[in-house]
Amino acid sequence: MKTPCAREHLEKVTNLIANRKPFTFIRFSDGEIEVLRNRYLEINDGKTKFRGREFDNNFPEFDKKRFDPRKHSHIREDLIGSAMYRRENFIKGIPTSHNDALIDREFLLRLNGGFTEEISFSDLFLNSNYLAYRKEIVPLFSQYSSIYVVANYRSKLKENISKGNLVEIPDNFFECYKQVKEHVLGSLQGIEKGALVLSSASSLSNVVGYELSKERNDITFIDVGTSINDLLSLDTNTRQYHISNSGFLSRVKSTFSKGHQIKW
Amino acid sequence: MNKYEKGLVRHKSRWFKNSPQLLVGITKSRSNAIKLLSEHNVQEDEWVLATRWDQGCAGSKEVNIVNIDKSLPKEYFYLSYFSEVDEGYADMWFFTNKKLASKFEGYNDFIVDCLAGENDYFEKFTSSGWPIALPRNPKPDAVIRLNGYINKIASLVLNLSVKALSGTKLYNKVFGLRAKFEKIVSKPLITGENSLKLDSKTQVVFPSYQGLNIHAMLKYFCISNGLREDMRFLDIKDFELGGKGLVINPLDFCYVIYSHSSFSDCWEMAIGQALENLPYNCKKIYLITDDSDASRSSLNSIELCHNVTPLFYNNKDKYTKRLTSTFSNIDERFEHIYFVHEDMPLTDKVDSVLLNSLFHYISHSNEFYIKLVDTNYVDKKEKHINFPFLVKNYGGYSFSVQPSLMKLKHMIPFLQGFDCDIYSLEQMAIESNLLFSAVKGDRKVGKYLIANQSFPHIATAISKGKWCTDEWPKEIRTLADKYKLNLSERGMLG
Repeated sequence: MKTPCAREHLEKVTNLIANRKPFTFIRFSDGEIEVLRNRYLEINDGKTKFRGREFDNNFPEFDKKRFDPRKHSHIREDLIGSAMYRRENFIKGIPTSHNDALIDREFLLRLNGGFTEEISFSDLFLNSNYLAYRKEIVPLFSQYSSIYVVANYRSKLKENISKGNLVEIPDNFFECYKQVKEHVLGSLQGIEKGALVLSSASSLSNVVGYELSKERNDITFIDVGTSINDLLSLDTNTRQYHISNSGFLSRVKSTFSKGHQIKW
Repeated sequence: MNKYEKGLVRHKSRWFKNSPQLLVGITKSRSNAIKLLSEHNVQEDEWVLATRWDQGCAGSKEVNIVNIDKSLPKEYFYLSYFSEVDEGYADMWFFTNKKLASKFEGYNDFIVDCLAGENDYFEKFTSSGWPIALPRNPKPDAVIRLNGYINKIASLVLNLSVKALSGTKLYNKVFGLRAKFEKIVSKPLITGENSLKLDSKTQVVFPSYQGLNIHAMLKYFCISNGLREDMRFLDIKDFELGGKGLVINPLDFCYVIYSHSSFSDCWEMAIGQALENLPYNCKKIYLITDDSDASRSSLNSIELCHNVTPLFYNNKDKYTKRLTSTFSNIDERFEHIYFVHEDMPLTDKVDSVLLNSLFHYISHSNEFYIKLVDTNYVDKKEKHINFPFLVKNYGGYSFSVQPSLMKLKHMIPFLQGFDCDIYSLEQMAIESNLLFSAVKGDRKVGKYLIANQSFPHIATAISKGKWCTDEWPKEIRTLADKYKLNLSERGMLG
């Protein structure tokens, strides 16, 4: 059994994009794990309630979310569906050992029915892969003639995605999940063959990527998370890896930070 | 069969229970049970839960707890994840749709073929390499035992510390320390089933005598019948589902809050607590109130009221008429209701398993009214033979205005036999020497009530127009803080 390597996986995705081969990449981060496990989660007004604990955060308004197992079972059902779904080139990023998440890695693997070719890292575009991703993958986005970006309504598309179409989502979409899901899917189901969808929509990205993959195997869907916040004109200093793109010292600091090196 | 006996004297070994008869008995039962699904015209996409007769009584908790979550998609085949999964699959239960379950019609024949050497099961298991398995290096028993003792002590100390430091600044630190400890001791099980691709070749083999093994044969059956792709292993720790068991076959119900506009100060509390504490099979909340401008004004101004469907009664009607007239307007799909007054709020989660069991019981018995709190003001109490969580009450308050489950088909005609306000209804019920069941309680509150933890209601929060802070001081003050109720407006008892 060969241990999966984050750099190799990034190269694989780079090749898929360079060859314009359609694929889907969705990622399960700690927030999605909480929803899958049916645990209360809240990121709101500088406070995070997570795994039974409460602590401060400095996340911006558009990162607000609240999952209440009693009220938001629909999103959980859809998220479980996306975690269990398998298809060629439907790539799922899961948390791994550098996230201190072995238990969650094994959990996601079981939901997937075991290890398959399509299993990858949730941090595939982040941490130690972030600079390579920004250098090698992000520039390739402009190769696509049709780009759609699912992101917070405050977003303003810049640089090589400036001609993309923004599909807006509100803050804390959990509260109006069904409507938002219908709106986003309705906006994307009929898009052009060969189009690129970049999604920065928290757990909604998993669901939309999953639903689209079932119907449209001729488009590329990438859950970009917060990795291109600068191109969306959103706050670019909310995650550790953001600073690695902002100067030599920051890069050094980021390189030596805990969990920087992506490991299976 | 001799090939399975090489290398041990079975009756002196830890595999002494394994016999061909046992394997054939269990698998024949399962095949026959699955065949019944077709005879009963079960639809292809309906859920099927197959369990062994001794489900819950044998094996480790990893396999004897049926791990069902209502959010699981129907198109997969679910079964237990446990430490021996590479060797074979736990056969205690599986959960899937009828289409996949039907493959088990041929299960017994397959097992007979394994025993008779009519397929390559034995050869794969003992010599050419067992699929999707990692080699194992088990630790000596003594090391496992010692680890267990150390972990138990450390866990006890950390749990006590978390409890003791609750509400202090150190809480988060100790909580985090406990989480780290739990992470270390509960290192995930690394198995071939989870780590290897399905077509991986392996060198893993087992001794011949271990081949007389229902788990291994089940694994080979699943792989041979193309089921493995659809299989999803579930660990009992995967989902947080409340820890009180799991609801099987949920029956939908509605929650009916009886009130009057003069009690609208309690509506936010009654509705908010219901939304927070009722299980998911509560599909609707009704609020019964008088047909008045005051009711409508409150319904419009209280935000949580948008979650309820109002039912209006004529203010001139007596209590029993108010109930029957509004009950008749409840959606027909609700055969059963969970009835409360606005001053009987929930204070914690309802035991959803017990509640669903009661709904099943009430729908299959001649009982149509079950009180969810007990009372000691009755003529006689008796054990309830059919339902161990209930008690039979004769006379007295066996029927009274309390949180209760009602079967509307019978409850409406029963109430139509009265023409009473609340107090005279209770008085007449006492004199009628009725027989009804109530959920057993374990905590006496006030003069008559015996409360229980399964249906944690304040029953009741208001008496004679005042808050009952004499009987429910902590509960009422907590809710008053939460819903910003000014207790002094009504006044307090005690």
